[in-house]
Amino acid sequence: MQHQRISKRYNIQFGFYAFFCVLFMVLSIQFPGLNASFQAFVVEASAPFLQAVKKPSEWVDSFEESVTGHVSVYEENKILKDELSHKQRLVRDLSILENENRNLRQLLNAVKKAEGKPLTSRVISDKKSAFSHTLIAHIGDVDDVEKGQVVINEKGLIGRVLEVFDKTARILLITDFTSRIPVKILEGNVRGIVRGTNSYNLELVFTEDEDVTLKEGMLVVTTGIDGLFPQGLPVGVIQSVGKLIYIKPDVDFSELDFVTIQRQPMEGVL
Amino acid sequence: MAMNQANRDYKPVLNLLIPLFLFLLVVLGYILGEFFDGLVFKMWLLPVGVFYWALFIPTATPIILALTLALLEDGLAGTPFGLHGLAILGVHYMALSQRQSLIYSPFAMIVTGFAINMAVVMAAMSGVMWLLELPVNLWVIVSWLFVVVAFILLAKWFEMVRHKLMKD
Repeated sequence: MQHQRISKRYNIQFGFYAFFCVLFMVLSIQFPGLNASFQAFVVEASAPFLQAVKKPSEWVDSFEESVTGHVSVYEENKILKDELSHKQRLVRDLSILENENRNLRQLLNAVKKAEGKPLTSRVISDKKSAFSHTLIAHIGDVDDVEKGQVVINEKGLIGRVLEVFDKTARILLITDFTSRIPVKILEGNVRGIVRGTNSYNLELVFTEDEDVTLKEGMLVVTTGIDGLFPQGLPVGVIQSVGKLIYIKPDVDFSELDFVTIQRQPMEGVL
Repeated sequence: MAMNQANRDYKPVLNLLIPLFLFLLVVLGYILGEFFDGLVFKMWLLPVGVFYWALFIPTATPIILALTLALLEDGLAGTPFGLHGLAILGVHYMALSQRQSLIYSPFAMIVTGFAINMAVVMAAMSGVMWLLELPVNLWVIVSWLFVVVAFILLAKWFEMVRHKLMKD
């Protein structure tokens, strides 16, 4: 074998496997559900391992945090006190607005949409590459998670549940190229579509009001017209306006350790 | 010297060690990905091991082993089933088809060979992705650079292991 040229048998094997790969690749794109059971098996089997792998990076992060935290603890304390005071004022204002909103809804007979019970889960694998932006959370079918449910954290929208397995779920991030979200720019109430770019920026694609003037720093939130994402979830802010319009997401996708899944019923939605 | 190494037989333990090494490369890629999760390019280490071991000890690096591990990567990364598989098949094929010239060459030549082969494989991968209407961007070049650097580091270590486990 060491000095032989490539054998005919190897060529046949290579051709067969290559054909097999191409076939499955095309099928898995045309029929996304087809390879779900294979992926479910791989993800479920490796979930304990992925969790174990995650530990060392968490230790490094927590060590780094504790070192930097000790250095700046007094400064941070002062900032936090100021922030707390500011937040308390905001909470007070919020309760006033909430009350006003409730009264106005009653006047209009508006029905508030049920958003489902939130459940927070640890991220056990965070796969962002030039090819896809997904992550795996340690939460699954046994926790009543369903395909399509919205995933958020305290800063804003993260994505939606793409596949659900027994104890894990794959989440499609809004930064994934295949992700499309109907949004509106708060200033001017302009509607558009945001799509992922497989990097840390989002791209705004307008479907209406193309003549409107957009500025950096304008806030982008979900519209809720797709029936999937609730209305008003923070998506990001406009980062640059040029030939293409880029949005900087509110969520820091490089540091996603925990995510919250809004377990709203998906029957009839997807 | 390289010719002598290639002609010598290896100890059977490599039949177990090579699959283990390749599996560990998949694992290591994940660990590095977790540590550097701020980076958007892929820490893809499997081609390093597949190319090196298919080049020097092909009998202990069967194509089905490389394919199985690549499909495992597809399952974990959520990419279309077969994308990594096809790329790894290409790496394996190129290693075998060029081994007669490369195993007798100095290390720098082997690295150059690997770099060119990976450029071809990644360009083909990008082509396939474009055909399937998947996104293709310049991060693929960064992935390529990373894989080449990883090859320089890991191949040196593989060489040490290989020398130790060759029969005298």
